[in-house]
Amino acid sequence: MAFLRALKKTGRFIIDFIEYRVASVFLLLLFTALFVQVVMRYVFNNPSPELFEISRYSFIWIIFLGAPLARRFGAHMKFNVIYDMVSRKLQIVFDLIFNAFFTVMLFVTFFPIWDDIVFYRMIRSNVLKIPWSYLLFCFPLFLILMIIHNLIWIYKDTRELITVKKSANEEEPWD
Amino acid sequence: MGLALFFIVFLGAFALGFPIAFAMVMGGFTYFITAGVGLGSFMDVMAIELSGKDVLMAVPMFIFAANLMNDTDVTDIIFGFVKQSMGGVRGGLAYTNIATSIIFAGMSGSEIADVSGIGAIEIKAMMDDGYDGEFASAVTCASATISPIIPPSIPMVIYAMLTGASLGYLFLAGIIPGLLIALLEAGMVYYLSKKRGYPKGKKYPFKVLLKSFRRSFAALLAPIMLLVGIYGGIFTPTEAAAVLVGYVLLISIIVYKKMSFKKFKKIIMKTVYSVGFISFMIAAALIVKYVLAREEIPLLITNFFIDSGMLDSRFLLLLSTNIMFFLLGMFFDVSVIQLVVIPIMLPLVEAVGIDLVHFGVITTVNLMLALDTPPYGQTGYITSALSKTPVSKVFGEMLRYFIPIEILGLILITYFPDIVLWLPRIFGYAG
Repeated sequence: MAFLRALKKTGRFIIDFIEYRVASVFLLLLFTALFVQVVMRYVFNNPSPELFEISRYSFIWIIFLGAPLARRFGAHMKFNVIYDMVSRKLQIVFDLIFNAFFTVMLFVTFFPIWDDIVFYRMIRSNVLKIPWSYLLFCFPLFLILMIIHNLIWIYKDTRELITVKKSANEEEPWD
Repeated sequence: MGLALFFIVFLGAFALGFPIAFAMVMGGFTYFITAGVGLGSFMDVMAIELSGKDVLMAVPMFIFAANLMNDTDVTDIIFGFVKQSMGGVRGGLAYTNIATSIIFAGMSGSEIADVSGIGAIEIKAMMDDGYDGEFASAVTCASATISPIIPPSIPMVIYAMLTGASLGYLFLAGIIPGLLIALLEAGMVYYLSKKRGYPKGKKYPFKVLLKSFRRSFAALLAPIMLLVGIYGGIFTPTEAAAVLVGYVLLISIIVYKKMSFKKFKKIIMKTVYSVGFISFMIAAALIVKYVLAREEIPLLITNFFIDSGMLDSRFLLLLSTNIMFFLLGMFFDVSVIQLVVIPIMLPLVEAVGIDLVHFGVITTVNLMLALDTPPYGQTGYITSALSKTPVSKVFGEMLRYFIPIEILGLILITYFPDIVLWLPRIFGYAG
């Protein structure tokens, strides 16, 4: 039991670190790169291709780390009109079916993506010469984080379906 | 077979309340499996192709700027100044609501950011002053429509990415239509204020106004700085978003002294979270775009319209496009419509010779209008919660008074292209 608790705590720490801290660093990096680029071009008349590349890859890292964070808090946009008309039990059944399908899809997709990531070690970015496998590593990371959050949702929904007790939502990420 | 399965899974998951972005990805997965496309294509389309859409980098920055303004009370300061300026006028707070949205529109690119940020302040002030909840909510919804029409604008960023239209000219093209809609809304406020006898605001002496102007000057400078920067050739529209973040950050620390490290951390977190679901939707929609392009759907639709002779009438095409966008907007999210429908419509629009900047403004205005209409009108739900007014009353007020006025604005913008293209042409647009 103590081992499981420690495992859960460590897992949560790692996920928090990736989704909060790492994503925040990339947001600041994107802002800094775009801002400094203006200064470089307008003040020094010397636009920097390095900064451009940093901004381009920071952007995709923010998206693919931000998407699992939004998933964790159920923030992704939904079309609720039909969903709100059915009973809570049926809503859970819908959620379970789609979450299961989506999780299997992410799992099946992971392996070919990983093969591509391994292959992309040979290709380097134009300016900074960083292997693509590092620049695109956010994508397999996104798949893993999404699988984890989906499984947690499946667990919560199943528990609610059996016990009729709704799981408490997590606190907002900034609280 | 693959395409049919794609639509069944995508629309099925979508209709039954699964997140829209995930429904798109799941539909794409089914298509990839049945059509024999390698699953590695997910990364090629969603990450590699997305990283090439440089203009989209503006989206996280505009969200960042809006969060900074809302959380450091910059919006509050602007609202305070406009409110004092409108003192003594019947329905003054309703005009304040519209005028503040115009200023906020010059700094934020999102209708939802307007409603949920400054909208909360506006509704509270109006209700405290004796306005009824449905009117306060409806004015807030209507005025927020202006936010993505006047530059900067997130929907215009997405449109530019999809069509290749110049973002700089699109931004310019939005200014007059945005002001026109604001003017029409102000006309409706004038009519309703007189009819219902809404209160006159307190009149402030010139000295107080001057003091308030001085206090809000730094914030009011932001939209001007953006326009001068973009059209003075100092920065691109994408970089403008980062400059705006830098500027708002600077004034919130130095001028207004409203920033702390804790607050900054919270704002960054909020931004990552919002970018997570807003920008991911764009990444997921690229999958839909890929499937539709691979099946040559845009070409099929264009050929259908050419064969049917509908392309002979530009008037009819614009009318049917507007009706289609409006109806879709009642049920679907703005970004979904943009990302799925615009790539299909694009060859059609080009075939008829409709100017892409003009069409961009038409679709933006139309989709913003859709955000105010039931059953999917998100702004109605947000303002209803803020004012604690039944959502049916909010939508009722919108449908009776403000939607017709906005439709009138849309018709003018659609059939008098000079309203849209006059300003870009002054700055050298050849369209």
